Amino acid sequence: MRLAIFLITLVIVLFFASLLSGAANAPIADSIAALFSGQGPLGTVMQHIRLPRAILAIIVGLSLGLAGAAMQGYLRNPLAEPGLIGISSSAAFGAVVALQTGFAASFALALPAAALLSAFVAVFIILLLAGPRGGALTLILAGIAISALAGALTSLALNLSPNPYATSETVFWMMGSLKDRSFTHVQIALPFCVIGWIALLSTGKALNALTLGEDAAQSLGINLSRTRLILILGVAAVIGASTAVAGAVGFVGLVVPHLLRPLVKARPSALLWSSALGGAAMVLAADIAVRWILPDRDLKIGVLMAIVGAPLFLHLIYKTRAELS
Amino acid sequence: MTQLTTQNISVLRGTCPVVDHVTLSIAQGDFVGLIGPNGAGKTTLMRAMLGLIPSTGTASLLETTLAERAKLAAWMPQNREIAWPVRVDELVALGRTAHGKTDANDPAVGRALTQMGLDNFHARIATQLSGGEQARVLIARAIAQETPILMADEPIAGLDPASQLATMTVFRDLAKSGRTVLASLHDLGLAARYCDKLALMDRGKLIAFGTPQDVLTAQRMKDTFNIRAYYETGPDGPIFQPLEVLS
Repeated sequence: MRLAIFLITLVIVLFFASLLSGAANAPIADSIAALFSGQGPLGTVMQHIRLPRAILAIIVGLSLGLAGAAMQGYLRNPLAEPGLIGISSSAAFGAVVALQTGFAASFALALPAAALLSAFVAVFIILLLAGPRGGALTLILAGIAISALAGALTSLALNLSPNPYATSETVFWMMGSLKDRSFTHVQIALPFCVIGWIALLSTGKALNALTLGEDAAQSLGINLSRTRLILILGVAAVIGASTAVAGAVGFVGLVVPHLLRPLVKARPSALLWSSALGGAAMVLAADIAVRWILPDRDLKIGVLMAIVGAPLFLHLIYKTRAELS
Repeated sequence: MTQLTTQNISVLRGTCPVVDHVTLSIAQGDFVGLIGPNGAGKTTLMRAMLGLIPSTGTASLLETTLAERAKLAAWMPQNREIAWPVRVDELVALGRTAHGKTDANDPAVGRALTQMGLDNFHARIATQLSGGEQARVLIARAIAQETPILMADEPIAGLDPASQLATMTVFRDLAKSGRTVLASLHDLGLAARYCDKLALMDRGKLIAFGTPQDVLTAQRMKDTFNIRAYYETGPDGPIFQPLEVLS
């Protein structure tokens, strides 16, 4: 309970910090007044640039953290992350095709729609490959195959690109960013994410039972096929939608559950909601940091996450090794 | 009242029958040891009886839904998996999943831990225990499910002699209290001493089912295990000792 209060407070504080961070260095009181009034240029900045950006950071962070905790719980592996089953790379492939073919410029939601569509095609193929009764291992193998294929096709699209501008735009998009997003992006991501969040949060009891392995969980009354279907569709919805609006943001789904696991006594169900909140806090913090560190250079959030996340993860591995020896 | 039955149950792996038309009827309150050489189909038979793998034929548990089955039969698989560093009482409380809430303060959790001699282990982290202690915790988890049927796959493998005897005593006491216990066992000496009945399997078929004295005959030991063994009914129960491999 104390952890929940702490994480919610942290998200709220970071949400307001995100609203107050940006190129227009206005006084705090003016910014908050403009947020509610919407008057003047500052009102436009607050309501149409910073507010959707901060909301998207929460949506994307909740999604990445929750999907990471769910994947780790289902696969019983602290190294699992949402990217493992190929959803994010497939969504990225859809977006790359949209950017390279010029489809992305045809209407505002073309890019996220292509990314989402590609993510769901990937899910369909994964479910076909893994089969109705397949266990965790077949899911990982199918995911690795899809991930590799999507990666190769993305490279092919970049390789054959006739237009250097489209290529650089694609490469930057793939680094992940929340810059220049609008409420239209919130509108496309939110419905998928809400459905995905509900689906993933509903797997808590099954993930707890899976602590004992698949056979024991099933003998405790857990329908594993249904759990797996809910989990894959939930991860696809939240990761597909998040990648569609923010590009590829790695490490959140891997590091956040790892950081919070000791604080929830390793209970997979408690790790779901706590990682969701932790993920939201981490993405908000990263999105504030990219605006503070290099305000003029458009530092990408995916790049920052990897730069900060990788050493943090190495530290966690070192700590785990020390505990095990 | 007969509680645990199978009728002509078979499991195919490809075209090869791993379990071959097994018909078995275990009465309530019996502790039955499922014995047989490696690869005889013991684990597969128990998993098929629980509906964990597809099979043909019928079994009493398969006539129930997954949720009903979880209240009827507890299952302790051979691979003793504990994925996360959770507290022992929280792990044992997972046995209450089918009953709704998994609460470490549930009286059933305390009873199961006491039964397995784990009273001082409530707050210990399960993954930090020794292999034998983990095995006892997982048996406590299955006991906490408080089902009329308990099925365990090699529950005493890897335990020290005292823990083996204690675990077999717990199973026998559970059976005496009216529960039906089916456990696959490789220690034929303990099986003979503690089980009410033995079911002997070989190459997917049920070869014999009856009291230890009826099942553990010299001829059957030769035919199925290719061993010569010593069997005697002593003053405090049967004594079985494998002596040599037959050439």
